[in-house]
Amino acid sequence: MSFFVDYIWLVPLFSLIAFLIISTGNMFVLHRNSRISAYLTLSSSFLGLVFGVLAFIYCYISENIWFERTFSWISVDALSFDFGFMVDNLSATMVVMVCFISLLVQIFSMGYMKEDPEYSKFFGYLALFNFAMCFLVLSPNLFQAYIFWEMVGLCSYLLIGFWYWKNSASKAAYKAFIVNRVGDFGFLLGMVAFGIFTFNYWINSDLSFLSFSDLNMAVFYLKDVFGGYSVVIIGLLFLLASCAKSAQFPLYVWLPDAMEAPTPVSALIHAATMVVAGVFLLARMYPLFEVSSLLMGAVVVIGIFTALLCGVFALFERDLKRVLAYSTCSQLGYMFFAIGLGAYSAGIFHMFTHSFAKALLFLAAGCVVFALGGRQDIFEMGGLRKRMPVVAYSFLAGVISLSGLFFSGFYSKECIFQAVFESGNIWLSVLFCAIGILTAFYLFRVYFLVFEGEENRSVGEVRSIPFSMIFSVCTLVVVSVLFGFLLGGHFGIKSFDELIYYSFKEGYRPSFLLVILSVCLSLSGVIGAYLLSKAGKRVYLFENLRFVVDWFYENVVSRVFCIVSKLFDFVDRYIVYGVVYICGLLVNLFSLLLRSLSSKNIGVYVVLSMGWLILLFIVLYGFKELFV
Amino acid sequence: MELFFDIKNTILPEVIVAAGFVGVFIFCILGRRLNKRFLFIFNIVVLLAAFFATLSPDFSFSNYIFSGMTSVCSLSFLFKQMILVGGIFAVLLSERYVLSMEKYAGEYYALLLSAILGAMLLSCSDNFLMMTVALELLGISSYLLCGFSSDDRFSVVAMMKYFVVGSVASCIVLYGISLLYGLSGSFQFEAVAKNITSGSYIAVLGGVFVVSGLCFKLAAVPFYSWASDVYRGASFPVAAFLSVVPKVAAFGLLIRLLTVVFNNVWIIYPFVAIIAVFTMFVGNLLAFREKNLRSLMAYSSIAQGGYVLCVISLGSALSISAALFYLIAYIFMNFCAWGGIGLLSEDRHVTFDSVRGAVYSKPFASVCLIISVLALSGLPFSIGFFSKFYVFQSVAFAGFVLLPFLFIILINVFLSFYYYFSLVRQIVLPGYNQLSQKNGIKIKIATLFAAIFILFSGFFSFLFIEYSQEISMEYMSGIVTSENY
Amino acid sequence: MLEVSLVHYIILSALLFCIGLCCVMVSRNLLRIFMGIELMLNAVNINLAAFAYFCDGMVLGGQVFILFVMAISVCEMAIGLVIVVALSRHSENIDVNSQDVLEDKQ
Repeated sequence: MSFFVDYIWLVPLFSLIAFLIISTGNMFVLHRNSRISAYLTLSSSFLGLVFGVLAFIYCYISENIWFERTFSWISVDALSFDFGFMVDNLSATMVVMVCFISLLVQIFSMGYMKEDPEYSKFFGYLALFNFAMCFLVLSPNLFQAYIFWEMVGLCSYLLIGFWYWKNSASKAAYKAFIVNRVGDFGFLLGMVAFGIFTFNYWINSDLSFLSFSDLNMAVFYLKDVFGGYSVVIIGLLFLLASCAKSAQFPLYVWLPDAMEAPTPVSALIHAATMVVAGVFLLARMYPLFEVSSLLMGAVVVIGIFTALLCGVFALFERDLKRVLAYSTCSQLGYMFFAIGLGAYSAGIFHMFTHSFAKALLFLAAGCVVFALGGRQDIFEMGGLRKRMPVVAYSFLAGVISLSGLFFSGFYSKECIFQAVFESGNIWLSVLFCAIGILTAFYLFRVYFLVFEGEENRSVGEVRSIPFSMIFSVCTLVVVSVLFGFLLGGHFGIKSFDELIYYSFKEGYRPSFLLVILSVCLSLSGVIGAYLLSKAGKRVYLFENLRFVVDWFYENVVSRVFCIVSKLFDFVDRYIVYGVVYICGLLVNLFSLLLRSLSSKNIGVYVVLSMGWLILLFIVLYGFKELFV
Repeated sequence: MELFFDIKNTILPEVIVAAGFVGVFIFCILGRRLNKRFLFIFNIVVLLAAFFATLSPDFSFSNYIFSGMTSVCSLSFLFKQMILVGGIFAVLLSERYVLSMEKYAGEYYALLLSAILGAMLLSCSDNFLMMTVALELLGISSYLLCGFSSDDRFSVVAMMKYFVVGSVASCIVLYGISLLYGLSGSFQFEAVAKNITSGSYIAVLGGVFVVSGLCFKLAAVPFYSWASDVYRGASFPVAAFLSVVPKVAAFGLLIRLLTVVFNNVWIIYPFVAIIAVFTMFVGNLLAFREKNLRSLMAYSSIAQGGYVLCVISLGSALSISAALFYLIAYIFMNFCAWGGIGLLSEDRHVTFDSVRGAVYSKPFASVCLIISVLALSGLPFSIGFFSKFYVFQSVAFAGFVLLPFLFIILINVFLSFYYYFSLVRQIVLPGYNQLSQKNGIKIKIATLFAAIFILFSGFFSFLFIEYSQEISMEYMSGIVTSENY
Repeated sequence: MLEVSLVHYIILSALLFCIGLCCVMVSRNLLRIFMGIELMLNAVNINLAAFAYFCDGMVLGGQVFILFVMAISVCEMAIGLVIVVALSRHSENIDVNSQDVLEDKQ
């Protein structure tokens, strides 16, 4: 069984092979919308999933494994940049989650992208993404994590701009990539700064440079030698990276626009896997954050503020997928919030439940969009439950889970709730309750507006939904329902926080009062949504609220950057290029000079040779006089 | 029996090649209709036999043959191997040229063999007399090879220019030899070395003359102007041969001269360095605007010779090993490039315009040419990169004082990127290419082999560098402890 | 009475060498160039003979070398005459400066 842990690097490798075959096959053999690429990608994901599940089971039944295998890629004196993989409980569970959702999304795409002319390219990109995300999760050190972090951002760009002929899609792709770049800048700076400051530690202890397994000791070294401020600065840089990737304030602006991507992409990347890379980074860098309470406070503030702000935006949004996007931002804020409070396993647990639930919601939304022929405005839908009951109930299941009423979302929310109340801060608790109401409110608003009520006149014809899409949705329902049950600590199975914990097992001690409180809050949100939908009036209030932040970026931030970049452009164009140009001119001059010396007269050859000889003599004589 | 052993361990390769030379002449005289295939096979067999004869010499016997005219050590055997490999490549590449000849195929092969013989003797000579004879043997064979297709006015004019410049150069060498003889009273290298010091002006003058005259064969600065004309005028296998074999032989001789004869005349080392700097600049700058492919190869080989001169002028064992490795790499890269050019077009007026877009009509030749040209410029993980790297390394290890020297080499490498890459760019640009050249299978095999070697030996470069380091260490330690006279 | 010593021979040889070199540099006629080359080789011969007599009295290696140099010069002249014959087959004169062939037709 440990074979699967040893060879877990095969999991991303299968996807990489699928990607390479598809991309080279596209050039030569495969027709652009051939089904072969889909089967290839599906089989690679399936194999990866099998491997991942077996590896996960092995991790589950053994006590506390931390398996690492690397080989040294670049090694300079005592430092070695290693490349390899690391399997511990966190990465094993994440691999399973990534592969599973990836597989389901790929099955979904078989139906959703059926008529798309660039079908096989899509599957190639999905395979590439799977590869990058799996390797990111399996990274043993910061260095490799950075490489795959960037690669995941690249895949996001490629997939958002998949329908590149749509202007809005390519702009959204740019936006996503550029905002992610800001985060990557933070990551790189943080990594480099951390590496430089703890340089002596790594050299003296003969460890793999910047590896996660030795992060603890490195952080202690950093704090001892350089003091608390260095930890704060480096932590803030990593926090910047996480914020950009996980769409926290103020770097969340790319996620709503990223809904230009096909819905499977939104489900995979922008709900379930890529955006949790930020949370994953926080989890891996937790030793660094834990040391400074200022950092933890920053994480909490950012988390809760985003959760609140994006929840409000979601409340007034009319595009189906954008609501879900804002909901993702908000829930990620939950996770940040939880980790910031010190509830490490609660935050990670919420990440898992949210991934399944959000993927479910997105896929169900995809079914709706597909059936309605591409329309996404929720005010033009209604009463779809009678037309597509399976989708409706799946959506309902996802909404229930996410708002914390029942199913797995309930468990994870309870853990976070408990952590909030244990922290004792009254404002946080109040805000958290408010967000709880808000979450239930906007989620159920969507549900009631889309699936309940009277059918809107503009619904028109509803296409039938392919079986593959239904299958994915249903599977996700099953999983998201069961996941929470299974890992909630009942039935003698290990609970989640026994599986994944940082330094101590937190233990979920159900407080009956808290449970009642949270369920009541969510129910009140549900009732509010029901009333709102029944009111029949469309609420156009604050529809354009979200554009405030966009306006700020566009007018203030980019103006400043334009000025700075104009300066750099001047230097680059005239000064740097000028030097290069002059060098080229000089060389050309000398070349012409020399070529003019040759001619057709053979006598000139001999004269030339003698001339060179005399020159050599002179130089030699000069050399002798000068240096001797 | 003793005579046999002596020959076997010392000059068996030369004897085999000389026997082959005589054999080819006999066939020329006796055979009325020369069977070209038979000649080809005979030549290959001779060269391969000579190559195998160089493979396992036993140095425990006395290495005193011909009164010490030739030196026997692993360095000279390495040079013989390199020259023979070059010869085999040249024979393979001349397939089509020989087919096009009506009558004189035998003489062609005879001249090739005599040139190879002269080169081998030159690289292992230990006496000025042997050096002169070998130099002239190599030189005269080269002149004749250059002008071999005498129906072609271009070839004959090129031969004339080659001859005149070459004769002047060899006169200068002889004058220098006479001066050195005057100081020391002997022609043997070690004896001369004992008697000349850096103080006497005549010794320096003699040394400068000898080295400068030798630079003719190397196509280095005092006498480089023949290269462009000869590479254009000669047919392509001859040009390929001339760009490699005389150069390698002359480098062998130069290494021996610098380390043995001018051991005490320290001023010659900076002189070689100055020649090297000028050679690199001249080669690279002249190649800058060159549009004719053959002249481009000529100037690039001038510059490549310059790099080797740089590193020879340092005189340490490490630098000599870098020079050896560079020469080994140079042989393969150059033959691959010439093979690619020959497969593209045998016309001497091939310019950039005529090779534009060649990769679409003649992919094999173009790819080989691209690989070799990129390797010449220093493409990473090909053998060209590692050879340049070791050159840099040995210059860098020679001390902080030589840092400007390293910069000059680096600048020249950058300059060379321009013309190499512009050649590659021309080949890859889309365009309708009208080159039509019938291919020869042997040429293709030779070029393919060289290209594969270039690409993959990069991974095994550590083997080569170890081998050359071993040889140069042995050689340098042999010099220090030798006391023949 | 001036005694003829080594220095005189060296100066003679050097002068002859320079004359031969100038002859090569300024000639337009190929045969005259060959004469210049021959002159240079003979200057070397004088040098060698002088050194052999004055410095190497016992072995006289220089004089052996002279024989070799003469043989070499004969070979070179043979080659030179081959060139003359081949050139004259292509054009009427052997004026080296009128051979303008090696330029690209661009």
